[in-house]
This record gives sequence, structure tokens and C-alpha cells, in this order.
Amino acid sequence: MVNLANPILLVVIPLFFTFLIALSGSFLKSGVKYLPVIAFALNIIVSLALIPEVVKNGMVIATTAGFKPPFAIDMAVDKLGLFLSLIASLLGFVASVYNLFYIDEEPQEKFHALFTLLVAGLTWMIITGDIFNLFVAFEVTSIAAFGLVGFHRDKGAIEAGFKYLVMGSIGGSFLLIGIIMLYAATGTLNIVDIAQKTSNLTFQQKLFPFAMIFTGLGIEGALFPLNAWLPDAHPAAPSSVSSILSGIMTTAAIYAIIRLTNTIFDFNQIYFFLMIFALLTLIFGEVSAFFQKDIKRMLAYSTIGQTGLFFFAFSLNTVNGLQGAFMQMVNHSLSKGMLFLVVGGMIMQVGSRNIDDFAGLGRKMKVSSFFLAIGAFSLMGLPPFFGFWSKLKIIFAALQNANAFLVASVVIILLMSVVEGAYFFKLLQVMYFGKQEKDVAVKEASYGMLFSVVVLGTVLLIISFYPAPVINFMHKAAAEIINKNYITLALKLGGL
Amino acid sequence: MIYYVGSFLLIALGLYAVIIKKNLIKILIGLDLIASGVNLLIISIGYVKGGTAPIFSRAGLKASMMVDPIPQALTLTAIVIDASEMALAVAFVVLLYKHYGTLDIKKIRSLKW
Repeated sequence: MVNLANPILLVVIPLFFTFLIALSGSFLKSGVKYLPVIAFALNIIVSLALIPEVVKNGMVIATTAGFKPPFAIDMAVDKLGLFLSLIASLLGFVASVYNLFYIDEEPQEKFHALFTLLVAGLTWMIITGDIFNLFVAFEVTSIAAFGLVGFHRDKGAIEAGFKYLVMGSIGGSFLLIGIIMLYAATGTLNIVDIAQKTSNLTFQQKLFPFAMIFTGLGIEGALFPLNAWLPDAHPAAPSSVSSILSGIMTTAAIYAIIRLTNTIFDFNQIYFFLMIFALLTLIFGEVSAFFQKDIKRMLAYSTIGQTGLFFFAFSLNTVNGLQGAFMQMVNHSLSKGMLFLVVGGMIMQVGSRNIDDFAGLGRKMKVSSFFLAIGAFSLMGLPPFFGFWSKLKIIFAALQNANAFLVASVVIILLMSVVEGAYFFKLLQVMYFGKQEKDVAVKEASYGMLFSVVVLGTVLLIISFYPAPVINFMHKAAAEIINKNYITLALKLGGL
Repeated sequence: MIYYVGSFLLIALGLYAVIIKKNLIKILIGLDLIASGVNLLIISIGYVKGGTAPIFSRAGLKASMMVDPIPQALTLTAIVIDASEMALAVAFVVLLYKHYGTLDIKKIRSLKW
């Protein structure tokens, strides 16, 4: 019996399947589409097997190549990393089930190989304990994403893909400069080892690497001035890919920023500056989403807004704030991932991405519309959905040590929630009460596609009505990050 | 010192090309310049003046007389990543040219940033 509770498997399994898909594509033909489903089912099993270990020890560390860290690369999974990798595997699994019925364009084996690589890279980025490895995972993810954004090869997709490629590769270069500056200052690449040595550095010595890493990851995480690629790239990609890009990719980039800021760069002077960025991102995303006619573009702008919201909660730098940020991340990943899958099925039926053409769909595609409504309500933060609990937590956390600026930020957040509500209700109103002028034959999406949507919707409903376990888990995870348990645990368990 | 100045000049030159130039191929050259600049920066961080290759090939060789091997390994990885990124970028440019018959980004409708 192999020990399943090994974080390396989370990366190795999808990478192995990526190459298997690419190699067997010529003789398995369209049979390759079943391979990603197997890969992510295995990943879910590994993540579940890791839960008892992580709860018992607080962290699981796996080293590679028979050396001890810092000489070898290690994978470290703590509570937050485990939760995010579980969500990444779950989204990867449902999206690959969705792909069975959704992707009929050639070359199929290339699409499935890139898709598996994308989720593998994201999981890798979440669980790695080595800062150069973070860069490699970042680039693996980016290159897979560039290819997938341009997959349809029509005008819009190629342009969006090229734009994303230029910005993404500049971001990668900035990230690499930051990493190499840290290496020059400390002489090591292991995150825990760096964290122990950065305490001797001055603020100025840490600021330059931080600015570089923040810019690099900020491009991937769609923070305000750096997100020009996102509203083009997310709508141009196939819907299952948009679901992964929106649901996990921005979250993983923000997660990496949170992890590095709290572990390596231990300074308090910059949080105010980050807060300004977060609020600008929030306002830009939500206001732009309000004016969109294209439904996928609207959801993409809404992703920017949500990123701003949980980045704001992170920049509060308190246990409650981080807890709110993690809850909002979970809420965003599940509901936005589900919304893109639902909308993909609807676009397939209607043949248009314009919101006005969705009139009357609420009567014709009952199940899809129902889950779209649930996802939209949870993103808006209507009670009793999970988004309500997370937004409530963020607002309480902001008002905890309130000064005038924080009160103003809370007002902005509430105002932006209203804007968010306005455009989602506009969509729902068109869908349920709008009159369709053209008489088009619209059927419900196929059962396989509905299956993925229903799985995500059920998970969202379960955590909405029984939020206590998730809230407690996130509280512990946030306390661990604030108290720097990552370093002490890693030292205890041989991560160094 | 000259290596640091050179690498940052290369990066700045690449950024200039990406932002100012209107030709897709020139933008790609800019991206490649940025990558080369970063690689030069990594190598020069590990450089020890008069150092030799980090192999214990003869007696009396101390670690302080060798260049740092880790940045060299990092550069190799970075070069491979840049190469694959460039290949993908060139594929995108070929497809863009097929769609529009031009390499000028002003004539390609939504390519503004």
C-alpha cells in the first residue's frame, strides 16, 4: 500500500497524465478526454488522504531527491494550502467532466494536455515550499493558460492570448528578478530558510524584491493597474478554462502573495499601500462589470472586483481579516467556477454571449438558471449563502479597530456590493421575466454538463447551510499565518 | 558591476521595445531582451571574480574559489522557459498575421494596452 498522504503526488499525478495524454493522443483519439477525469479524481483522493495528517501535525512536508532542505526542493502543505489544493482538484475534476461534453473542436489531445497542465501548475504553485519552484510553477501555469486562451484560434481568442502572453511573460520576468534578489540577499531559495534570514535585512533591502514579486504575481492575480489582459482573456477562453482561470488562478496568485508577505517579508509599513490597491481593484472591477453587455466579460470583471475584495481583507493584516479573505476565496472559487460552467452551457444553446439574448431562459433551462441564481446570490452576499458569511466577516474585521479610512472603505465595499447586486439582478430579471422575440429552440444542457454544475452547486449549498466547520478551519488557518506557525512547524517537521 | 548595469540596461531596453514599438516582431524581440537581461542578472549574482567551475577537480581547491552553481542552474531553467514562451508567442504572431495580413498593432483592432 502506497502512502497516499504525500503532497508530491498532487503535482506528479497530473503532470504524468499531461504527458500520457500528449503521447497517447495519436492512437487513443477522442478517448484521451477521459484521462484528465481520472487524474483529478486521484488528486481529490490524495487531498482527502492528506486531511487527517494535516489536522494531526499542522503540516505535511515532502522532500525530493533524497537530500534535506534547503538543499532539496520541498513541498509543504499546511491548512490553507490543503484547502486550496482540494478546491483546485475539485474544480479540475468537475471541469474535466464538463469537457467530455463541451470540447468537440480539434486538436482534442492538445486541449486536454494543456488543461491538465494548467491545474497541475496551479496546485504546484499552492503547495511548493521553494521560491524558485514557485516561479517554475507560475510559468507552467501561464504557458498552459496562454495556449488555452487562444484555443479557439478565431480573431478575438488569438488577440486575447497574445495580449495575455506579453503581459504574463513580463510578469514572470519581474517575479524572477524579485526571487533572484532575495537569493542574492540571503543565499538560499527555501521559503522557511529565507524567512529566518530576512529578519536581519533592512526595510529598503526587502522593499525592492517585494515590489518585483508583487508586480509579477499581481499581473496573474489581476490587481488594478496590471489587469488589462483579464477582461479579454477570460471571455475568449473555452468556458471550462475560464472557470479554472477565474476560480483558482487569481486566487492562487493572491495566495502566493499572502504566503510570501506574511512569511518572508515581515513588515507592517506597506499594508496601507496594499489597501489602496485593493480598493481601486474593487471599484474598477465592479463598476466596469455593470456596463458590460457580454455575459462572460461581465463575469470576468466581477472576478476582478472579488479579487479586490479579498485582497482588501488580507491587507487588514489581522486574524479576522485573513479569515474573511480565505472565506471569500472559497466562496469566489466555488461560485465563480460554477457560474462560468453554467454560462458555457447556456451560450452553447443560445449561440450568443449578449445578455439580451438570454431573455426567457429561466423558463427553458430551469436547472441551469436555478444554479446560476444560487451562484449569483452567493457572490452578491445574500443571506443565507456562504458569500453572506464571508462579506459579514470582512466588514466586521474592518470595523474592529476602525479609523476614518477603514469606515470609508467599508462604505465603498457596501456600495460595490450594491453595484454587484444590480448587475446580477439585471441578468436574472432578463432571464426570468424577459420576453424572447426570436423563437429559438433552446433545450436544457446535457446531463454531463449539468452534473458538474450540480456538484459545485451542492458543495456551495452545503457550506452555506453548515458554515461552522469551514469558518472554524479558516480561523485556525488565518491564526497560523499571522502567528508565523508556517516557519516553526516547518522547522519541527524537517522542512529545513 | 558592469554586468549589473548591462543587465538592467537590457531589461529597460526590452521594456521600451514592448511598450513603444508597434510591430509584433519587435515586441517579441523586446520580450526576449527582457528575458536575456534577467538571465544575465542571475549569472552575475553568482559570479566570483577569477572563480573556476564548481567541481572539485584538483587538490587545494576551496569553495571560495568557485563561482556559485545555483544561479547557473536557475538560468538554465529560465532559458528553457523563455524558449517555450517565445515559441508560443511566434505561433500567436503567425496566426495574427493570417487573420489580419499585417504585423502593425495599430491595424489590429483590439490590441491596445
